[in-house]
Amino acid sequence: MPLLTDAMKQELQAEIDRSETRKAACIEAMQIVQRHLGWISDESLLEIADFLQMTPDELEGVATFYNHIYRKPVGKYVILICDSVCCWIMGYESLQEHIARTLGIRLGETTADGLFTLLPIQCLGACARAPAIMIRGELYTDLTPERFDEIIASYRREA
Amino acid sequence: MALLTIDDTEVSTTEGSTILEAATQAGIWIPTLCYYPKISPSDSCRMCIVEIDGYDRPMTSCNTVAVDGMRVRTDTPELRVMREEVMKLILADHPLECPTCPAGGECDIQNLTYRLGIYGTDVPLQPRASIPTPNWSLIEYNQSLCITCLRCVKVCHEVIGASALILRGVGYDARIDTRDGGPLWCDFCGECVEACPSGAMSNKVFRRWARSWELRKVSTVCPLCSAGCRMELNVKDGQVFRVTTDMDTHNKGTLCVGGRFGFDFIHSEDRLLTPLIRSNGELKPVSWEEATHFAADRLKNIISKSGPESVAGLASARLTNEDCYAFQKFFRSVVGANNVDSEARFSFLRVQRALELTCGIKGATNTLGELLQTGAILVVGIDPLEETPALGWKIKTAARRYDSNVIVANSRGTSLDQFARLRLRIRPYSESELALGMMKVILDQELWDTKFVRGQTTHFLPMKGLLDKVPMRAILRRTGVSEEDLVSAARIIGEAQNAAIIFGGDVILQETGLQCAMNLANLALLTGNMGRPNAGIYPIFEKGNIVGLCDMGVMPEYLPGYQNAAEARNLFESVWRTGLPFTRGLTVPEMVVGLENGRVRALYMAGADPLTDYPNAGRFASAIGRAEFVIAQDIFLSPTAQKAHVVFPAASFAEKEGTLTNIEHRIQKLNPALQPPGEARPDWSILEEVARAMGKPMGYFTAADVFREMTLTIPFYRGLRRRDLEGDGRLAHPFTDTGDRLRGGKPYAFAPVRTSESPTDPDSTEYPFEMIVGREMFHFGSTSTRSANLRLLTPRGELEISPEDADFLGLADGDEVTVSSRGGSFSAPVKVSATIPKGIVFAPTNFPDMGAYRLLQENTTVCNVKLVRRT
Repeated sequence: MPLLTDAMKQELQAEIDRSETRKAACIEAMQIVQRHLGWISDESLLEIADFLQMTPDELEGVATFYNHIYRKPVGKYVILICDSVCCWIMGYESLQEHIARTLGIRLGETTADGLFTLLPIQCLGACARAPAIMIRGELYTDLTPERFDEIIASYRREA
Repeated sequence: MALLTIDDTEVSTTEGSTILEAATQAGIWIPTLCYYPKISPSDSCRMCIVEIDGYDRPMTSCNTVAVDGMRVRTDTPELRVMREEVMKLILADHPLECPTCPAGGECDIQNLTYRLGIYGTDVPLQPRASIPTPNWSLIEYNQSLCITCLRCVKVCHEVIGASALILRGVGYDARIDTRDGGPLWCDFCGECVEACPSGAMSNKVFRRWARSWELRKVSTVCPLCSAGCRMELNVKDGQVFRVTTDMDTHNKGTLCVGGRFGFDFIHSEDRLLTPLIRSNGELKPVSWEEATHFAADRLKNIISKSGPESVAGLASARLTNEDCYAFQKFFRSVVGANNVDSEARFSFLRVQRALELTCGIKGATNTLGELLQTGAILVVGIDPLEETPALGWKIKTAARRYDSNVIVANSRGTSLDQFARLRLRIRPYSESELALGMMKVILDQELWDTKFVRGQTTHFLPMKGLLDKVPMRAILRRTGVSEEDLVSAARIIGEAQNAAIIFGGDVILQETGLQCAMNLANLALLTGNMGRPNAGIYPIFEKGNIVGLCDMGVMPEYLPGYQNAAEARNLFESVWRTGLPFTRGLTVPEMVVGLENGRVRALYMAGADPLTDYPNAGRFASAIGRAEFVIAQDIFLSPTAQKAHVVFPAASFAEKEGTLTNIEHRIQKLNPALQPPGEARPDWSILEEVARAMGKPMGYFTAADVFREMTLTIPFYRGLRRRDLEGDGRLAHPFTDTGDRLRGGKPYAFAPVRTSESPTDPDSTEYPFEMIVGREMFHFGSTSTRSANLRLLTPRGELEISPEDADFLGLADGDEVTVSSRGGSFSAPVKVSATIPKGIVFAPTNFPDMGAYRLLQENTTVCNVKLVRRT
């Protein structure tokens, strides 16, 4: 059962057309597949490699180099918590403690219902409004425990 | 070319070399710790720092490229202080347990501390809170001794491609761990132990039983597979304790599980120590005198009554070239018959015939090292991890570092899939059709090498005529490969500048192996990948000295060196001072028939174990029961030797002199490390003893005598001296000069194309599974199943089955099943394996007690079976 749908392949092809060589599209290709499937399993890695005419080993080398290409399953929503100096000063630790209390997950863990995964990220560039997190490309700043709970609640409604 | 000054010495080095490499070439020592020549530099230990004029800080020499005009200093007071600081930091948490450490005496930390003149550290000693030693097989990891230099992790990833080890944690918690955190389960090559600068990674088999300085290192050749890797046996008190390597060898000092850990079969309790004679149905120990005379008298008796044609002989790939040569000479000059054959009849000889007809060669056309420079590699019907691991590393390196496009065609998943541009999961035994399909596409798309085909080959048009008659539809149906994949594969091979074709046991062992090898050779010729560097065709067969066995003429059709009796009779008669037989001689299947109808009365086997190694072993077992007299010489009492009337104990590779020929036709020398156990003797000398007792001595007193005679009679050995074979040995190719006759004056010829129907079994409803036989990953031939170390990894042969079929039958790992075909049955535990496609089961042939070959009919390696759970 192939994992890459025709729609995904079209997206990949568009990315390849923009690139100088087929291989050059590999990072974007994995991001596209990850957007559709949530993570890059061994099976999908194999299919992407075939599509890009690379060896699985080559693509694996790229995949494991980047932190935000997930080679293990992650939750539906990945909470990227900014892991840089300003956020450390402005309540990064207490925010993490709050997340551990309310969602029951620490860095690298996923909630039992499979909705949320917490991962660290290097500076989100919102130092003036620390602490910051990012979910699905959406930046949330000046976080307090209450504000965080609201954000999580809205995602729960959406899910 | 770069010219630089290191410590006031002018040093010239090749463009792109590092300063460290340039200094090493010039004999200048730079201390290193995390640097390891086999892997990419890590530049993490800062030990190899040097000062370079114009640079304001010290540079690591292991990864700084030497540039023309550079002025480098490797030893200044400032550098010494920095290196001392580094060493002291390492010593701060490295337990100084040198007297009980497995690496004591050969530890880089120990040696560097001493050589740098450090007599203690002022950093307070803070031993690491180390994790408990994980319980792994054969290899042990001790965190407290580890300096996390990553040599083990990188050698596992970069050289072996197993990527079993990773670095986990940071700072004081940093440690080496397995990828999933569970017990280590990998290729068990032991390269991590060899790479470790301290005692952190150690060889469990070796630890604490001998100190490194007590061991005498004997350089020799690994006999277990046909790659012929060089290795060093470490000997003390008449025992081999471990195997180490030298990086300055053709295998770059890399060994697999067989070489590193499989050596201990030589110390097995099952070794034969005295000659045995059967009396009252039982084999009883006797003296050499008695055994040789008994054997000689019986043989003479049979020969005088029924003629020399009633005696047949089987040799094996376990023997050295000298043993094989002596064996065929024994038969041709002492017995007086051409009845010598071996397991090559069912394997390598088919390939040799195919390649001789098409390419005029008798084996691999190119060396293993040339694989690195290929543009594409087609790997058909072989998993190198199971047959010749050294080949697998070359293919992986070619794919990763040199961007060679690897295509893997196999009916099972292989260790190379991860490194392949294209994986073709073909139906069992459709390799031949795959080659035809690729040729059709290459012709269709005009990708063939017209200049090469027109200029250097013949018979192209007849071949094309036959090929055009094969419909593409039939090929796709037979192989089970999609047209898209077939076209991609053909394009990759057709478009590559240089492509190599490698094929293995699955092709060689099948009934139609000859045709299949010819089709693959056709493909190589069509794409012009023949007769030039970095291309060619490589037939690979696992068994140790299979190439030497054929070179030495252990077959009825050729004298040694593939010479026809018609042409070389005078040469051999003058060297041997005796007449050669004029009869044709029997092949193995003919010997079996001869045994059954009573024409063959005596059988002499040297190292051969037909009941384990030959297809249709069941028929052989009943045939051998009818033989009046059976002689076996072997290192173990194999299932076949148990049926013998006289058994001679033979010496193993570690106990004798001789030469072995590997798959690329490299002739290498064995050096004896031990005395043979008990009264065991080298095989050639046993044959000489029997010959003498028969009154016709062959004139051999040492293995060197046999070798000297080989250089007189075998064309491609002419002029070779034993001392030329020191080190990496010599490549000697048996090119045949019969091109004119066979190939119409051109160097190469296309072979006629034929297709075969898939071997179907009429009883397929009763026997629903197709069984493929092959080789087990941790074993090499059946000899290594006597190695306690390797048995630790795989104690018994397991029947591999696909997850779907296991689900359907309700079988789980370890469940005992009885596997039966119309030919026979065996029982084995089940192993569920994702590499096996549905409807197929896989059985290893290595295990004598399992006897997978008993199920097969004549000449095939595939048959239909049914599985019944044993309760």
